[in-house]
Order: sequence, then C-alpha cells, then structure tokens
Amino acid sequence: MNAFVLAVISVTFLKGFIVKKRSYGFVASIIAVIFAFLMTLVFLAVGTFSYGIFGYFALPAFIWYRKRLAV
Amino acid sequence: MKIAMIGNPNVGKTALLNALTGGNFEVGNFPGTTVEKKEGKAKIDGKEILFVDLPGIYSLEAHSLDEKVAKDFLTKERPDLILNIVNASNLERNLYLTLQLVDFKIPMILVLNMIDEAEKRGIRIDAERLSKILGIPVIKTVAVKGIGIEELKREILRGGKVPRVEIEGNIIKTAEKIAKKVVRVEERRIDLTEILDDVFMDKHLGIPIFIAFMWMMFTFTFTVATPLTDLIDSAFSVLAEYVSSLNGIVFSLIGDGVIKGVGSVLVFLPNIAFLFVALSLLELSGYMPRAVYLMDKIMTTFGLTGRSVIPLIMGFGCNVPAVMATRSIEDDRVRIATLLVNPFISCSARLPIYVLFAGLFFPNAKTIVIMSLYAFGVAIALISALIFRKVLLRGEAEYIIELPPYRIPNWRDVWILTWNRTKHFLQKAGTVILGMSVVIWFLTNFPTSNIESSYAGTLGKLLQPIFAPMGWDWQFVLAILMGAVAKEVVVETLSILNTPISQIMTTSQALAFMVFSLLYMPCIATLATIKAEAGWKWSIFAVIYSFTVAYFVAFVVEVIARLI
Amino acid sequence: MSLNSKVPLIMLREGDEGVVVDIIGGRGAVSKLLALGIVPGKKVKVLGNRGGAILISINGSKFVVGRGLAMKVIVHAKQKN
Repeated sequence: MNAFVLAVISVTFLKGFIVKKRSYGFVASIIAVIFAFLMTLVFLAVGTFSYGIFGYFALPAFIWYRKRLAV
Repeated sequence: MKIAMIGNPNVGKTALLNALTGGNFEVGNFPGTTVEKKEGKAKIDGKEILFVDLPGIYSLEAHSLDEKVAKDFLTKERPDLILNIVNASNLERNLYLTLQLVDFKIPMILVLNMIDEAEKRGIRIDAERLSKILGIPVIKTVAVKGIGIEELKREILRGGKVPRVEIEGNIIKTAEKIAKKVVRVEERRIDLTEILDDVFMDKHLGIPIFIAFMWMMFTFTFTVATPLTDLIDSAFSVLAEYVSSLNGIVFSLIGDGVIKGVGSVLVFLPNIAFLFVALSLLELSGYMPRAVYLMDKIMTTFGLTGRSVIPLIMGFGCNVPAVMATRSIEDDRVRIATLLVNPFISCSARLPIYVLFAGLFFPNAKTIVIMSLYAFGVAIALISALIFRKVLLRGEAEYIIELPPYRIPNWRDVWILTWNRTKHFLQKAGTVILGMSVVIWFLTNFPTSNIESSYAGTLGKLLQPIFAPMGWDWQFVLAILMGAVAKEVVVETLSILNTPISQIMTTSQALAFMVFSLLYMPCIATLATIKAEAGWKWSIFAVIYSFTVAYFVAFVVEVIARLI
Repeated sequence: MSLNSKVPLIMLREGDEGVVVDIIGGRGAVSKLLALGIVPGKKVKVLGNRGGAILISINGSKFVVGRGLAMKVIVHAKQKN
C-alpha cells in the first residue's frame, strides 16, 4: 500500500506536466511531504523503513509552486 | 448572564467559544437528544457569563433535530443575549438566519467572523452600515487568532441591542438587498481552494488520492500508535498479575476481573485517540465533504450516499466511534442503514482472531486469508445496506452539503475535538466493559475456578448443540459467547482454556469460525452505542440480523470448504 | 436540449451554467435549499456531474447536492456558445 501512495504522488506530478497545470505539482508535493512525515513517525515508532521518507525532497518543489501560484 | 451562540455550520463558533472562555468549556448533549451542546463559563470584568453554543444551523424552521433544539432553547430558556456568528465570506446566506432571529426580540450582537479569509477573497464588508440597517452592534473578528475578541467582550458587557429590521417582501429578498448594500467584492485572484479542488476532485486522481489518504490514516492509527499500545498492554498485565496473585476473592475480582477487563479496552485507547486525531485533521482541513462527493456514485449503488463513507471506513478501527460518526448523515434512513451495517466492517479487535486461526491453518496464505476476510466483511455490509434500503428503509435520500474552503487545521482545535471524542468513547465503552468484566469474572470463577466446570463452561457445553452443524467443540462456543463483550476476548478465552485448537478442529471448521467471528454480532460497546444513536428496537434488530447472517454464512462456508 | 429549456439541475453537464427558476418538492426540501441561498433567480454553475452527487457553485459557495435533491431544482439552462 505504501507503494500505492508513492504511485499516486508520481502520477499526480505527471498529470501536472501533461496538462500543464501547476496545481497538480503543488498538491503532489503536499501529499509527498505529509507522507514523508508519516513515514518518519512510523520509523520512530516501530523501526520500519519506507522510501516515502524521501518525500521531504518535495519540500523545495512545494515552496516553488507556492510562490508561482501566489497563495 | 446567559448568552446563546448561534450561526451556520463552518463559521468558527467553537473557535470563538474557545477564545471567549479561554478554553474553559464542556461538551455534552442537549437533554434527551444526541445533539452536541457546548457550554462554557467566563468572567468578563468580574461578571459571570455563561456561553451556550447551539448546533450549527442554516435556518430555524425546525425541520431537523438541530434546528428544533436551537429554536427550543431560544424560546424556552430565553437567553439574555444572542451572539449571531456569521461567516464574513458568505454574508448574504448567513443573514437568512439572522433575519429569522429578529422575531425572538432578544438583544443581539452580530459577529463577522473569519474576516481575514473574506478579505483574502476580496470581500469587503461595511460593518457600520450593516449595524445601522440591523440596529445591532456588528463586530469583526478572527476567532482563531484572537483578533477582535476584546472588542467583542466590551460589547457583550453593553448587552447588545434588540434588532429592528424592516422585512421587505420576504426574508430571502431582504437578505439579498442588505448584502448588496454592505458587501463589495473586488476582483479576486484564484485562491487556494480552487487550486486544491482542481486536483483533489480530479476525475481520475480524486479517488486514488482519497484511498491514499485513508491508507495514511490507518498507518497513523495502527502503526504509529504501537509503542503506546504495547506500553498500556504490558502495564495492565503486570498490574493484573500482581493483584490477582494476592490472596483472597476480592483481589481475584479486581485483578482478573476489573483490571484485566478494563485493560483489554484501554489497550485500544491509543488507536482510537490516533484515529480521532487523523479524522479531526481531515474534518478541520475541509477535505471531508470532498470525499463525500467522490464516493457518492459508488455508495449510491448500495443504497447509501457519499455521507456513509467516513463512518464505514472508521469501522475498520473501531465500530463504536464509527457508529457515533453516522450522526452527520441528515437522512434518517441512510443513517440507520449505515449504522446497522457498520459492525460487519471488521474492526481491529477481530484481527487477533484471524491472526491466530489463519496462522495455524493457513501458514502459507495467512495474509491472503486475512485480507479476504476484511473484503468479505465489506461485501456483507454493502449487500446488507442494499437489502435494508430496498426492504426496511425505503425512500430517496436527499442531501446537500456545503464545501467549505480549505484551511490549515490549528492544533488547539484538533486537540479539543480529539479529546472530547476520546472522552466520550471512554465513558461509553468504559462503563459497559467494567460491568461486563465483573460478570465474566463471576461466570468463569463460580462455582469453581476451573473454567471447564464453571458456569461459563457449563453454558458453553449447553449451547454447543446449536453450533453442531459447524462442528465446533464447546471451547469455541464458549469463546464466541465471551467474545460478545469484546471480540478480542475470543482469543483470550481460548488461551485460558488451553485449547489444542489444531487437534480438535478441521480447516473448514476454522474457516467457518473466522467468518462467524467476523459477522456474528456487534460487541457490547458497539451495541450500547447503536442503542444510544438509534434506540432499542434497532439494536435488538442488529443482534438478530447479524447472528442469523453469521450462522447461515458460516454454515455455507463450512460445507463448501469441506467439499473442496 | 432545446433553446431556453427548463430542466432539473441534474440534467446539466460539467461546466454548464443556468439560472434557478423553481424548486419543486416538499416543504423540507424547499426550505433547506432556500436557507442555503439556492433560490429562484440565482445563477448556478455545475462543476461536476459524474453520475453520483452533483457539484455546483452558487453565490460564491460550492455545494455537493445528492441526485435526489438535484432533481427538484429546476433551472433555466444557458446555451453554451
């Protein structure tokens, strides 16, 4: 299921590029960061590692989109 | 001085109550109803003031329970002052309620809350002019940030004014006219809500994103809460063991009965609290009504509406809060149907049963068997819902929900919501479990403390013939009987009895047993909640229906599995 | 759909616009809609209609309306150019 979440995030980013709408990248980066935070909590709680933790790398993207979308 | 707070849903009433009372308020119910009542006390300049937060409503025409409760409160309790809280972004619609309040001839103050959000959207309101038209003080506030609260307090001390408004034609037209006079909308840029809705309600991605969120909610509820669950579990078993090792029947009652029983429920407390945190986040962020829209089509196929989705999903955690969550469904028939099928959604307490039996009988296909049981529960729930709606609870569901703008939830609100709900769960489930643990303790310890010859053992043997078609031994019957209190007790009972499960049970019988445990009846705590939300009649119906379904399905499963 | 047709809200497709002309049905449904600002004369835009509940924008607010209720709101559909 974790892989499913990662797939959803990637597809959302992808759709953003295809339809050329920044809102998709913005939302995808939000979900990625939330997921990364959650996976960090999981790691701290039970020690299970997930690649979702790398979602923090979406943080700059989030800031970039935020600026461009001016919200 | 008694002050009633009244306004539409989503205007920030709770946040305002919080700001006015400094968080000193209690959540309860209006007498004889399940409508939530929040009440708080504050001292302003030495003056003792009682704030009563009425349910969020759009009108006072008394069509819904919430509206009736609010109206009754205004007519019977006659508060000294009404704080009419209004969402500044949506003045015209909110004024509809305001103009209905005029008839009560009670002094009023109009609170234009969330003024910051309105201004962000380019909406400017002329408060002075509005105050003149309505004849009452108008205060602009941002309750979550504490802006305007001091001014509001001063105005409260002045006592408000009885509104005088000329109604031209009807209320709707009047509201429209007033709004036209005082609201100015500037060209607004695309706001956050538009951007987020674009994606969250995307034709193809909307539902996958929803599923991703649900999965995250479950991970948070179950995985992240694990350390706390383990801690409570071990603390209680150590405590129970210590107390019951002391000599004397009283210590046995307290140790084996009370502490063990209460501990078995408290073990779920972290899960439930975490589930509530996640749900509060979804609710306060404004995402929930979007999920309703996304899932509506699928749910209508089964006679439910998008409204039923959240309670059903919560059922995977615990059916008690899930049944409580059905309150938000306006349509009574859909609400009852959702609530009745909820226990078929396999809650976390049933997992240990599957783990035990699937581990013994299907060591190579454990995960698949368990997943199938979960899916099977969902299927039975949806089919039952369809049957109920076609036979017992007929009629088209009508509903409308506003989509509020997205907001970043603030931690205080999340905490308040979570704490109140968790407390509610503890009170409800706690008292029932406490009583039942004493009963079980008695049944298993008398006339002898050997469980096989105790009342419980006798009862199990007595009832065994009923389950003879499935071929279960009396130990399993006893486990099911005990499990009626809380499903996790099934495993506990079998372990107390030292049942050699794999020697006295065939694979087909085990499969039937798992299916039966999944379906047979709501646990006592859930049943108590169903009774509170829907009445005796439906809770008895729930027991009979689920038992019949479970018995029949388990029998069929046993026969088919044996033939294969 | 003929020109200037009056149809239930549910008949509109995603992106269509219209003006509310009437609400049919019981007092409960009517007053509920009125209280939410869904009254004759208001412009309404359909943001989503995918077979389930319908998503509309009216008066600057967005609503999810169940199909049953959306049948009762009669709108004057605007012809798209």
